[in-house]
Amino acid sequence: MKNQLSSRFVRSIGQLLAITAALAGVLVAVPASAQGDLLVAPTRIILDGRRGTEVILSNIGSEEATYRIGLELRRMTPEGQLVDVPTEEANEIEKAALAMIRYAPRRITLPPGQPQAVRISARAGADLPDGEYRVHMSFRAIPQPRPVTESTEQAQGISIKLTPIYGVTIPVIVRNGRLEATVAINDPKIVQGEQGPELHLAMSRSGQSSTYGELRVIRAGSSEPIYMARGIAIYSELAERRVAFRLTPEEAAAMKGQLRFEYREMPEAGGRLIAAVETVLN
Amino acid sequence: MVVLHGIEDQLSKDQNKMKKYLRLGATGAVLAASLGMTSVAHAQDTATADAFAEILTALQLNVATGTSLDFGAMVVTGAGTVSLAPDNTLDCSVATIVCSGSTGVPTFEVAGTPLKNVTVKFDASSAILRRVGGVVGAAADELVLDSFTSNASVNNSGPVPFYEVSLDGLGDSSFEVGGDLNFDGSEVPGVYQGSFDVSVEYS
Repeated sequence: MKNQLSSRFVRSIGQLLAITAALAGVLVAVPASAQGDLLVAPTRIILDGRRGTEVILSNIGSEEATYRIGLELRRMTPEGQLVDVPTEEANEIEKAALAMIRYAPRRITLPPGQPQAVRISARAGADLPDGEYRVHMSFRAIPQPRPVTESTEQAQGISIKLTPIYGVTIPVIVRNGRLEATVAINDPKIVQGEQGPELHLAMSRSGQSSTYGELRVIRAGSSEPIYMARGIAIYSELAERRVAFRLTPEEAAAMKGQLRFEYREMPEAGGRLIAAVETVLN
Repeated sequence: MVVLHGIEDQLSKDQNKMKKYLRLGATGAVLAASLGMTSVAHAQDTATADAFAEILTALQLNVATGTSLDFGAMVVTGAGTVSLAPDNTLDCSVATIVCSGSTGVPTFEVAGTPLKNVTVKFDASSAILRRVGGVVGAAADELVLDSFTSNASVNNSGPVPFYEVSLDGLGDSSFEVGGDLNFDGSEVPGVYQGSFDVSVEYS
């Protein structure tokens, strides 16, 4: 177990170094105004309630930055939007999720190019019902106040100094017990959207677990996909997830005839087939 | 077939990228040690097949160097709204406001899992900007930035449209942000400061 964790950590660091190295040449020369650029790895965390793990946060900007790390609640709409859930509107599962996750540190100041690990674990009580519990970990730069001097040339007018405060959130999932999920792909079709053709399909999900994977569209008699969409999550609060992907005219033209639609786990998770359907599109 | 080749090319590029990262495995171990991590004896594991997967798991968000939301300078003689579109087109047609100087929009760059869609969110619908040296709460020292818009694609397949970026075959995407400045006409000249929030939400 330890081997697995440490190797994953080392891989992430290798990746950070590569990106840092790639950026270093650019950033040294250019005075940047942006503050709070960040890298987070990995991008989703699965905990089993016993052992913990780490998330790497790296300052990929050119100035020192302070980041705040927090836990937030989100619910997914059938269309895949992550909607903010205020704590006071949390349901029992969400409250339990917030209560069981431990992490540190919660505030990190990093010089440019510097990564740091955030430790995270879940403390699932013995009487915790089986199920999937989820929070979303947010990483956000805290802007540092900058002195602004009113220049005389602008004294006759109004000028604006705007600071973007930007960050990312990633899901942290705790699975308690043996959880399963069944998914079925329904009704794939090509739809003319406002900006061109779109692939629409619905995936119905049942069971206690969420699923995460990639959608592949394969022509009969071929093994290579003609279309792929990756990183599609169907969270446990959803009974149905409807996806809509914009297609290029070439992609839409290729998506005709006898087709197989597959929803598979991501390659790094083993690539297991979760759901498939064969159909003919005209 | 064009599409098929696109995916294959992409995958082979990713494979090349992986090799670049793998070579850094040993250095990674040194850094891990300097961070106080206890077990660094397994750097060789980096060379296993599943490393291909690991390189896809980072998420980056940054503002392109030198870009910012900048409305230029304005002389205000009455109430009105100035709009800056995500393509940096300024609408300063209201008669009570005269705009000058160059404008700009911030470019947010996202890098993550190739071929994944990611939600983009403005955490607040409006932001209050205050004059440097002004009085908090005084109408003459405040103005409102709202109606944030982005050229990230709009997912309108459901009842509530939302912004989404589709990461390309290399896992990259970017979007610009614009907004409206609302003046009540009482604002005194000066520099107005404020902030706005943008989130990239990974699923």
